[in-house]
Amino acid sequence: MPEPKVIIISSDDEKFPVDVKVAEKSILMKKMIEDLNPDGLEEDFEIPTPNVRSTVLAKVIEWCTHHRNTVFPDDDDEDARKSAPVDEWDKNFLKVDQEMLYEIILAANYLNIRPLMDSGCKIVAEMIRGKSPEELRRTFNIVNDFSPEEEAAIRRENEWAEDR
Amino acid sequence: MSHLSSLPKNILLNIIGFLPQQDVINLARTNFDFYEICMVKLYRRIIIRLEPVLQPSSRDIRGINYIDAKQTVVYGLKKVLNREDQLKIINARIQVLILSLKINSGLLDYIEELTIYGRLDAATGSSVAELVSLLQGRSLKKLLITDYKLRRSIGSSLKVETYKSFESVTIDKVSDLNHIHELPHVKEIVVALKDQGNQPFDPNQLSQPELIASQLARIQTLIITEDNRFHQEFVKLLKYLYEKYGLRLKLHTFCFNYYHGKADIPVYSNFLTQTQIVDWTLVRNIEVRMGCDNVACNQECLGMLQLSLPALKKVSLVQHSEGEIDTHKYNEIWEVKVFSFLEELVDSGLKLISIRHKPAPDGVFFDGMEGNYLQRLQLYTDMLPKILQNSRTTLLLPNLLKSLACYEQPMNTLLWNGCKCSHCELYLSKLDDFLMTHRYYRFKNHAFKDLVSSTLISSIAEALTKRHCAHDLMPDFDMLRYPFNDTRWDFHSNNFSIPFKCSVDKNYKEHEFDEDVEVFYDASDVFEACPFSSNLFRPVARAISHYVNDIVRTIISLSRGDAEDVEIGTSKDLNDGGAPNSFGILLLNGFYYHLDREANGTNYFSNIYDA
Repeated sequence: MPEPKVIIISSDDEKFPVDVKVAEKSILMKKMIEDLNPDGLEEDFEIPTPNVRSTVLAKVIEWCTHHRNTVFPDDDDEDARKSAPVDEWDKNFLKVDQEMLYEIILAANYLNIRPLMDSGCKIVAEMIRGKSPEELRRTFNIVNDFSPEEEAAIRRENEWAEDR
Repeated sequence: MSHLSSLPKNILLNIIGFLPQQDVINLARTNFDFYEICMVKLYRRIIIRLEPVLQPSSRDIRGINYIDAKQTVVYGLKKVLNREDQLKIINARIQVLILSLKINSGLLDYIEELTIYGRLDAATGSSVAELVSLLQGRSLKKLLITDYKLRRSIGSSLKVETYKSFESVTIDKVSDLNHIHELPHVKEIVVALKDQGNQPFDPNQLSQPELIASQLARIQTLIITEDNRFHQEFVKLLKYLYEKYGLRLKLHTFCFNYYHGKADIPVYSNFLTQTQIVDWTLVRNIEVRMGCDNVACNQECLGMLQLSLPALKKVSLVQHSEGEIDTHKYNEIWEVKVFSFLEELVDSGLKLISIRHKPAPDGVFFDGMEGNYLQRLQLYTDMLPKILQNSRTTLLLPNLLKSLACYEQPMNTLLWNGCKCSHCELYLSKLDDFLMTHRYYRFKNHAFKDLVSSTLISSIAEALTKRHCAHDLMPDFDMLRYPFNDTRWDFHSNNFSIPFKCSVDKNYKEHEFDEDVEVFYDASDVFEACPFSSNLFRPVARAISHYVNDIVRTIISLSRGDAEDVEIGTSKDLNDGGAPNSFGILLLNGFYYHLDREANGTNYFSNIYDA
């Protein structure tokens, strides 16, 4: 008899059968599997993800499959999580447009996949690095709601931390 | 359509958590929503120190690291200035910070951690005191002041209310523990005991020992000073509470000495490791300062340290000795003991290993054998990767280069037969000039001696060691919590003698034929004319890093250079890529590396600050 699978269902009703080990990369799914199948999985188990589109879900599952055996820093070890550089494979994997990147991050947040969320956030942080406020507004479509005086006041307020 | 601005707050905070301070400030200036979130990050953890943040050498994506995002650093200027000017600017910066906190008092609640690293002057110290007093009764969880005098002067002016929010406290005398029950959130105790002086521990110093025992049983982190006198006094206290009130420590982080002194007094550390006082099954992070100065024992006792640590994640081992170590043999034995201790631990899934040596201050040992140098190197390049396998552990070796520098032959090879790239051609030959035109004063012989390569490389290594914040009260496994220091050596000051003495002529010319004639020098003579200054330090460090790069190549078996090959990484390939992925991060004496694999399976490394 084949191993029972976890069937993840996207918001647009596409079904993704995966191994338990892959699904368990998501702490949310891991808890659901454990809570509803205390004796282990005996038959296929469906998990709906009502706010994740199928294209995004496919990416997330690709990530989980690649990292099925990877050992990551503990979720609660903030220090180690922050020291870790972005995995080379993740860097290539996350070469997607801004919108897709945000959707992957949102999905990782919802499914509670900390290492994927961190990789995504680090990529966004790299896009922010080294840009002036004006460049940042342009890159990320941020609407400036400060008056020039307010912006000057903020600058003064944080002058103690300026790199110079 | 998703925008950056539309992401939920927890995700934005996570993203901003990976940004260094200037980028946080820039993002804060874009619009009000970002401003609010950015302030949480900018003010959360602040460290005040002299040295600016070390900047990565390239903006290549592989060069990005997130260490510089961990704290907001208050320093002087990026430009190299003298200490007085740096302090003036630091003082001005603290004053601006104080003013901002007074105008916008909401910011006060964002400050959770404040570290004052190193020694400041009186004016800056009093600004720090003013800053700390502003934070009274707010959200500050940890205040760590490494300088004892400043700690005492600020501590004496604080009321117990200040500490109410604290999760970490530093105690400088045993009686400080009498207040511990008034601090409901304390999880971490840092034991400095500097005020204890030569006063031995006496149970009468504790007003309610039973209450203290019950408080200590609740803490998670205990950091005891490495200073063995004070360490012993604190262990006596623990012993007393253990025997009298059944104290059991339930620690997840523990830093202690395991030291056998010269005179054969009982080793109190054995009390820590051989009784039930510590529940070792809970310990996740340990720092052990190991050492033995007992000649009869000859470090045999180090082999007796056996702990069962199933939950262990991070370990730092520090070579501890009360005297000056003067032989390689001693170090070699120590290292073998340390490695056999480590080997017992790897099964638990270690994430971080740190090993700190105690090298000779001037780099001169007389029993250096090249074979032993190679053997020692092999422990790191061969044995450690083998025992760790594919764990992608973080390896911190804060002063390995300084320890290796004591072997003269390999250092000669480094200088005169090392890397042949154009950068090294230029700067290694400058170092050659330096050796020829400088002397150092050796107190043991009461004479100026010609510099040898060991002394020079060891001095460079010493300066590089100061790139990472390290202190008795900060465990080594936490070294990556603080952005690196941009320290630069001025090529003359050193920590074992008066500054190196420059001479106009090359040393061998002056000395060649009249060895008997005593020549007297004034140490300040021709000092100003010397072309060697701190401006040269970064390029010189880069040249030395090429030697260290070779060590890293051996670790990851990148024996064909950095070339790529499609067959690389297959199971048949014994060279590139066949080596296990043992390390993710490697810090070797100030040189910081990321190690990973290319898409085709080749191992690669990137030298973040000195490429």
